[in-house]
Amino acid sequence: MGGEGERRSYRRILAVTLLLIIALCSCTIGRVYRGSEIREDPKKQIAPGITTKADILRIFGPPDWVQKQFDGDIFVYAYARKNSSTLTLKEPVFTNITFFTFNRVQQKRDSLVILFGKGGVVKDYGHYKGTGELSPL
Amino acid sequence: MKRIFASTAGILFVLLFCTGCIVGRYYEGPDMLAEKVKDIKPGVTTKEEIIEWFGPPQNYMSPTVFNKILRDLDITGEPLGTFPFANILSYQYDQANISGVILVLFNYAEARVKSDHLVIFLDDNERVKYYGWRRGTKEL
Repeated sequence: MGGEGERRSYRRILAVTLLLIIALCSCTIGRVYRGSEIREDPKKQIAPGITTKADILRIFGPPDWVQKQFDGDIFVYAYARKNSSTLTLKEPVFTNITFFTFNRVQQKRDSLVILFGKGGVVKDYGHYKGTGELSPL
Repeated sequence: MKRIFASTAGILFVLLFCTGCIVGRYYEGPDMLAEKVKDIKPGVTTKEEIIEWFGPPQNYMSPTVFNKILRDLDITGEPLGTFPFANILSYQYDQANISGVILVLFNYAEARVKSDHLVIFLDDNERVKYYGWRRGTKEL
């Protein structure tokens, strides 16, 4: 009798486990990192009216793009990250029905924009560290 | 009871781990002569020398295929490496390392894209005014 009961509970646990595995089909996590992190802290390195274009190139390296303006250039540095996570609950064997899908994409960027005057000296700059706002999931 | 746990654990193990992994590498652009970068002397080095050392600059060409894909996939958003100016020479070498684990219940994919980038600004006499250099692929 004890053996029959044990077999029955074994089958029940196995059935529930299989059902859970079938239903909890997949979880996908993706990470994309593009570019290089901004090397230095702009607050410490850039002094408007003093820092020159040559200094900026030496400290931060080549900009990711340059915008020409009639009163001076703009240098833009960017580092982008994309975190995505997807959870799908579906029955993939018999009906292929998806019961639930959760998808989350976070795309953040660190950017540094530096405005130069006509003489090639920094007029002003803006820095935003967006990648710090990314949550792990 | 021990048998039940052993069987369940066995099934879970097989479903979670008997799958695959992905490793991909992508390289685009000319491999720059890093040792030549230190020979660039502002006020001395000419445009001709730069072209002789590094070849034709890329800013006069269409964007690299890889950057185009990244933009199309909305990964980078804004244009990358655009220098449509006659007094700027730009060279870029992209490298992407892609890796992933594919399990039945869990998948993970990661792509890291880094670039070696050299941007040279020329003066009115077509000599190097200043330049910026970053060896991003070393971070991979």
